Amino acid sequence: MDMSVKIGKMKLANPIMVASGTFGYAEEFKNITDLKQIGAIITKSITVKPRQGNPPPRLWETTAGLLNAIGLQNEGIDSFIKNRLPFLRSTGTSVIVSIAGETVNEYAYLAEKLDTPGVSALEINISCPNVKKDCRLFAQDKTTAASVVKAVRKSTKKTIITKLSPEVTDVCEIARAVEKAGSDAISVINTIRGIAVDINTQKPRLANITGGLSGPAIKPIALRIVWETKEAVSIPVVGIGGIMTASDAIEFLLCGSSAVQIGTANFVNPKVSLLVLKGIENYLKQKNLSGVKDIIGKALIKK
Amino acid sequence: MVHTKAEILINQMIAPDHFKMVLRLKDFRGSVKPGQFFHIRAGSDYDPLLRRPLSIHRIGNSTDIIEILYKVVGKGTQLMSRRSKDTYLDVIGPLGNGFKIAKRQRNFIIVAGGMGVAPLLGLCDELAKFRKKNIAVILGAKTADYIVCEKEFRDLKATVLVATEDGSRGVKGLVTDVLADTIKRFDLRETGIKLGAKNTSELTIANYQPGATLYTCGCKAMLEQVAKICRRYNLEAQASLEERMGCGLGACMGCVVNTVSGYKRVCKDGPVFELGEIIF
Repeated sequence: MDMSVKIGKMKLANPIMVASGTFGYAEEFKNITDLKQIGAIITKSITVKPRQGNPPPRLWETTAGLLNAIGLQNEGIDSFIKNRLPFLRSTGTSVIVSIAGETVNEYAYLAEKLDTPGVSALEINISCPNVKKDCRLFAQDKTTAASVVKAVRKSTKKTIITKLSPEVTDVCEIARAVEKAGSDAISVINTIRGIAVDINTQKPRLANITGGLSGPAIKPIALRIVWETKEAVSIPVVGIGGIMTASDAIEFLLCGSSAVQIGTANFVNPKVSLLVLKGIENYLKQKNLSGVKDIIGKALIKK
Repeated sequence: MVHTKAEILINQMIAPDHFKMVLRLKDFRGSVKPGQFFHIRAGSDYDPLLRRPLSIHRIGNSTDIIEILYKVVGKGTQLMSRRSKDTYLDVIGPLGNGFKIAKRQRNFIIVAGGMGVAPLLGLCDELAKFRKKNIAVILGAKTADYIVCEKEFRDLKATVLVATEDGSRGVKGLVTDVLADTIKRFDLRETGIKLGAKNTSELTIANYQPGATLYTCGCKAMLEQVAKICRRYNLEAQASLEERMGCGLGACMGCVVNTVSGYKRVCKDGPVFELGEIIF
């Protein structure tokens, strides 16, 4: 079965990626799952300086979902390269480093720093909902989104995936803008902001008040945005949002995703990526198909 | 640490809403330490979605047998309470660091608020193995009905002091009231240490060793008070903390607690911390 897919210059053995922020730096999962079978590992977002993140509580479970407000806690790019990248390199799978800047220049700086062997691609996180208060995300404006991508494009020859926010009026115009600015692919969706309240204390459950909603609860929204994005651009789309099973992943592939990312499900079952992969292979066999490319975008109805 | 199936050998109500579960871990030959926890999937669908971190209550004669003590507080624990014997749970563990046991220490104080007793009985099992030791256990709960494990601690030759908020058993008040009172009688500077409270039998510590190590678990408000008392009397203390968890493996940064050296992960850097390190 040919499970390989191509995203930009990056050839993946299979279309299963683990989503940023849900898999740490992979070392945390090394004793519990077979890392080299995963198509690509996306790291937790890395920033220029270390970030301590948001005050706790940072998590609240909702019906079939999870609100999180971690706030990009990470050790910064220098420590990442020194202490985390060597292990990631040794996993034998493609490594995609997620980067998050506060300014356009910071994104460019991070991309330059990561122009190093062992990094297969960069995912530009311009859509984290938990770091900017009362302020627009880079991903919420086509001009700022494009300016980040342009700056990163100038700094690296590596494959660039730009991660967009679902919290926009028209994802298509943002998607077209980042495509034009030189992004090799688009990943959708980042989490959707939500709130949960403790009725006993009459206060929000999260110290940050809002948190990004992930998990099965957001899957239909994610599928809709993948569909819209795929119709708007010709670069590959990577689908994320509530994938728990192989059939969830197949829905994303049918809606035009060239690859999928598994996020919250890693918390439920650290081996989920391998189960999803196996399930897709079985599905393709049952349908008498020769590879995963046969189903990518199959559900899209030509207008 | 393994990700495996665990057979439910016993799942029994021991007090209102309080359950004891005995599990046999499939194909497990590793070691388990008191204070570590298992990340347990209570159901099989998406509500509840996440695993539940539950501390190890007691370790069996072979380490593939573990006991969990839990209170039904939400959907996850409710599902667990309905699971019948001979069915299997999906578990990951043992996780976290566990209690540090000072080999030279012989005076121990255990302070358990409510369900905070869960990880402390297994710890007491370890402490009880020392030949010459003094263990004082202070158990607290809202009412007498919720005081659990008292007999088990006594069976380990610990001196047990009880506090209930309504006074239905032991001292009327909080565990921290009893602790303060106990420590006042527990003179750390002198060679003859006496431990005890007015309403309980007074015990004398035969084998003198200066100071004592305190182990505690309970709600944040209680831990904060215990920390103050420990600071005042310069007592070494370790606390097992509880926080909502995502992965349980140290990856998601969801379960952090604020400490003097920044945010630390309860699942990986803890769940046992030096009490003095926690910023409340």
